[in-house]
Amino acid sequence: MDLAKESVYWIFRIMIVAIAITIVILILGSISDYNIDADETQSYILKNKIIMDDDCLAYSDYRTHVGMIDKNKFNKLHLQNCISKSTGVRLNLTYDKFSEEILINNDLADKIDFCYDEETFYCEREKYFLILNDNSKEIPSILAIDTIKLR
Amino acid sequence: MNKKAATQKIMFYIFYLLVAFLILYVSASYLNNYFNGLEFNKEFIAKDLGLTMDVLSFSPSGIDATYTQSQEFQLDNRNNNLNVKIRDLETSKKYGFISNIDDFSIKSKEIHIRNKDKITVK
Repeated sequence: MDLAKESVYWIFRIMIVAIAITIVILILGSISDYNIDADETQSYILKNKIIMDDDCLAYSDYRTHVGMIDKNKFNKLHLQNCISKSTGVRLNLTYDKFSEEILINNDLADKIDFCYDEETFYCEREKYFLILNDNSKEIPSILAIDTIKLR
Repeated sequence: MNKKAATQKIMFYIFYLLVAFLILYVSASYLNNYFNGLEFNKEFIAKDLGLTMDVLSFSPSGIDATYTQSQEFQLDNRNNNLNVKIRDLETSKKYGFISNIDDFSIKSKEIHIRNKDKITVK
């Protein structure tokens, strides 16, 4: 066998070995692919963070008031600094016949309408009955929180 | 067969041996981690510690916590993505923080987390 034929022969052998390696790695990868599903817990923590963290919406003077949110903190800029970019959030605040909506992390939050695709997105919706502090005036309010993240 | 072809063949055999060694090493490492539970342990630490830090981030006042494991593990947080490894040469397990947490890198059995205005890890 001349050198050219020999080289072609070896190239094919290397390709077969590469395919075999890929298959072995894929099989081993799928065997050892553990996954602990923490999406539900993480979503619960996120919603509580939004209403209880004074860096998010919680009203605070000399202490943080649990169950009371600050109207002055209900703006997109403030809330975008409060949570990371991994989760999209849609907040809908209803008080005194008014309703305001904020989207945080737009890239994900504007896909909330696609939540029926449960294989791609993990979504949750929760309503909270809270006291809204508007410059020391306390108003009953409803805050609806929609969360969306990629699975 | 001429001398050049013989040399080439020897080089290919050396290449084959190296590839075989690499496959054996990777397979043994994966299977070893799978059977002794290290892969599961990494996944567990990533999720458990990540969720813990997210909860601590909205403590209404200052809080200190110590997270202890039976063996040393490596933590690396970049852009709010926590990577957990137990050995140097292995793939990491990840957790995406929901809070904004400053980057850190640490290798220890015991992690001290403090929230005083912002989360710090030592």
